[in-house]
This record gives sequence, C-alpha cells and structure tokens, in this order.
Amino acid sequence: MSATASIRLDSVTVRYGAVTALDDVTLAVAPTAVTALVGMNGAGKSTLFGAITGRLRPRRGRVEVLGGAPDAARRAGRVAVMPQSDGVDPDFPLTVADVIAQGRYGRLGVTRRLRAADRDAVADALARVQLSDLANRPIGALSGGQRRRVFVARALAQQADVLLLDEPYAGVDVVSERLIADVLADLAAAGATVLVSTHDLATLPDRADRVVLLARRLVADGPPDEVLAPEVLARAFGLPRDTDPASDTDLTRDVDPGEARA
Amino acid sequence: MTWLDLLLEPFTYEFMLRALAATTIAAVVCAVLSCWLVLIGWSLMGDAVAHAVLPGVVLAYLLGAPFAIGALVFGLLAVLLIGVVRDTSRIKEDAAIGIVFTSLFALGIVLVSITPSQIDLGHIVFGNILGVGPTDLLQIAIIGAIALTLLIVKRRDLTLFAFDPAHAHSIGLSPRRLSALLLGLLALTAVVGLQIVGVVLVVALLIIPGATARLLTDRIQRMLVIAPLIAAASSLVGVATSYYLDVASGGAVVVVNAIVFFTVYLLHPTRGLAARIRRPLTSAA
Repeated sequence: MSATASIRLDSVTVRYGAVTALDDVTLAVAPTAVTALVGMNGAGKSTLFGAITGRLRPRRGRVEVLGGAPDAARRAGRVAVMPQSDGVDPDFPLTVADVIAQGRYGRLGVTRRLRAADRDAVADALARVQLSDLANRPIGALSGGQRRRVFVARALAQQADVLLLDEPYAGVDVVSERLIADVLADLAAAGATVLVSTHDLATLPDRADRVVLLARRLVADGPPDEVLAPEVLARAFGLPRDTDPASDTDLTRDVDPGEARA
Repeated sequence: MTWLDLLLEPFTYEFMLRALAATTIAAVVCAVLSCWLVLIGWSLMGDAVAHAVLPGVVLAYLLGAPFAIGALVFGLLAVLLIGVVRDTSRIKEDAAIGIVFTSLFALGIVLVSITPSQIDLGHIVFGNILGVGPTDLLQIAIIGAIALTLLIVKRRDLTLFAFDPAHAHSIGLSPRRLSALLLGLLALTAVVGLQIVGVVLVVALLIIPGATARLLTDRIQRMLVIAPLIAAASSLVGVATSYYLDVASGGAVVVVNAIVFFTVYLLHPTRGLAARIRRPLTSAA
C-alpha cells in the first residue's frame, strides 16, 4: 500500500508557537479508499489537513502529496478541500451553481469565465449530489445538509485526485449524510484519495475503509473494526472508558463501544 | 419645465457638469468596491485606508508626484501596520485599526499645517466637488478607469476570496495577493473619492451602496450592477439638489445615498423592517 501512497507524512511535527498540534506523525494514505481521520477537537485533524495543502509548514519532518511537494500538488489543482461548515458565511449572495463553479477556477483564464466543458462538469456535480433542481437557488435558502452537498459538489467539479473533507457529516440530515458517503465511496472506487475527518464513530464502519486515530500523535491506524475497539479508543483519548461524560466534546459521547462496533 | 429638465438644468454650467462627472466616476468605483467590502466585513478597513492616505497625498503634493502614488503607498502602509500591530501584540484588530489610521491622519494634518498654503485642509476633509478642474477630472477618470477595469476583470476571484479564502488557496490562487489587490484598489479609490466628498464622507461611498444592494438581492452579480446604479443616480440627484438648495455637495450626495438605503431598509416588500413587523400579525390573522 505504502508504495503507491498518494499522501505521505514522514515524522511530521507542527507547532503553533509553543503549542504542539501534531507530534511526529508518520502516515501514508493510499488512493482508491476512503480514509477516516478521527480525533477530538484539538487532536490535530485540521492541522494535518493544513500540512497536506501546504498551508502549514511542519517544524520537522516531510510531507509529500502525489509524489511531490504539497504546494506543487495544490497549485496544479489536484487537491480539493471541503471547509468546515462554520468556515464560510452561509448567507453569502451566491447561488448553488456559482459555488460549484468555483471548483473549476483553477483551470480557467484570468476572468474565470466558464467554458462548455466547465458547465458540463458543474451540471454533472450538481446531479451527483441531487441538487440539479436548486442550481439557481441562493445558498442562504438551503438547509445545512443541502449546503454541505454543494461543497461536496464543488470538490467533485474540481476533479481532483485528492479530496480532504473536514467534518462533512457534522450537523447534516440523514439523507444528505448517506448521499455524501455514497458519492465519496464512488470517488474512491474510481481512483481518488479521500481523507475525511469525523467524530461520527457510530456509522464509521460503513463509511470508511480505514480509520486513523489522532490525538496529536498517531494513536491507531487500521480497518474500522480493529481501530474502533474500546481499548484502542480509550488509549486514543487518554481517558479510561466510561468516564465522566461532562468531560467535554461530542466525541466522548459518541464513544459508546457497543454502538461503535455495530 | 419637467422634472428631468429641472434635474439637468444645473449641468448647463461647465463647472457643474465637471463636478457631476467627477462625482459619478468616484461614486461608481467606490460602489463596486463596496460590494466586496460589505461582504468581507472590511467596512472599517475602508474607513482606515481613506484616512490614512492623507500624509501620502500631502507628501506627493510637496514632491510634485501624482496624488495616487502617495495615497497608494500610505494606504498599503496603513494596512501593513494594522496587521503588524494586531499580530505582534495583545491589541485586537479594531483597536489596531483605530490606532494606525488616526495616527497617520494626524500626521497628515501636521504635514498640511507646515505646508506652504496651497493645500486647503477643508477641501481634503470635506471634499471640493465644485472646485474640480479639468486636470483633476482627467486624473479621477484615469484612476477610476484603472480601478474599475481591475475590479471587473478579477471580480470572480475577489468574490471567491470574500466567500472562501481557504478554497481560493487550495485551488492554487493566492488569498494574500487577492487581499493586497483589494486593499490597493481601496487606497486608489479612496484618493479619488477623497477629492470629491472628502476623507470623512468617502467611507459612506465605500459602504452604503454595497449595503443597499445587499438588501435588494441574493446574488453578488446583481449587487455589482445595482450598487453603482444607485451610486450614480444618487450623485446626480445629490449634486443637483446642492445647486438648488445651496448646500454642501459632498454632504448632499451622501445624504441621498443614505435616504435610498433607509428607504430600502424600511420598505423592502419582503425583507424590510415594515414587512418584518407586519408579518407576525398577518400570519396570525
């Protein structure tokens, strides 16, 4: 697997000032699979994404994307990033089609005028997330789940080789969640590298081929049923099992071993 | 005599026509820019840059260089200083903006006071629409054309930057460069607007038309048409009104813009304040 890895981190450490956000992480992510990145808030999931896009420079270690530097892959438009839902203004005056068209900008000329091929790609992406009817709707008029699907469609329209999705299932209705998961599985089957950060442990086995547990360090890495074993989770989050539920984050609530195995 | 005749009569005078042309150009460029400023939340930055260009304008005058260059240098210097103060101290952004722009504006006032006569502080602070000469108009037209062209050509990138700079970065664009472009154009536009309505009121032209357009539509493409149309119409009505009522032209133009904004804010059929207040009653009925 590692011979064909499309994302490779080699002893990567990232610090913000005195705070270590990622500590000596070595990881190889392969194409044709959906890899889930699981960890609590502050576990370094977004930092890891930042290192892969070249937004953050590691203090130590090396990051390689598609066989080259992160910046090279990014400038070539081969890495698509889906932001967390609170990363953008949900009422921004753009239509669904406008936002999806942004996925094509990297390929366009100076004014970013769409050509026929780009319009086809936008229409195709719209259809795959089942939003064709809402193409001209302002994004402010959509539900949270529909808006997430718009951003998935934008990543689709980009036709990137690597997709990084930050909490794509957070606060999403069941229909949208299933739809997004299916689209991502199809993409992976077609050869893409899909890396998803999530804390939704309950449905993870259906959604991911591989799970990477992160708590600043790499804690566990493997198929969902192994990694989501209670002992491993307890180690990952540095807590004995069944601790005080008041000890914060959605994640601790989701770590119900029975549910996670189901 | 029809209303239109009445509206256009003042412009049979050449100086009035020049005043109108200069005001309209400045207002239209400011209005286009205001759409992005309002959406990004950079209104205060517009205020800051408009004030901070003053020392640049005075120094350019002393050195015999074009105003625009002095304004550009000091506008960007202000933005840079704000970023440095914010990032390297415990001071928050609003305070950093306040400190930097008032300091530079004060420096400008001091420079004006030691500059041999020709610069009239009153004109810089409150504008001088009726004093626009042929060379001023030419300079305003050239700067306006450059700024407008850049804004139109890069409009989709600027919108993406305003909406989702992280995505802009991830597809290989440079958010830093786009932000510098926007701020540079802000400085250029500020120097144009400042000759017309003055440092204090240029902020109004950099905020109100975009805000009005935002209330009227959910599509930025339409905002970019509506805002300059409102600004141009307000310029015509404002300058004509100032002629008949013999009031300050810059003030009149801004007051007309404000009247349009508050009319829309109150009376928009679905989103206006009046409609919002009425709605619970009608739905209960």
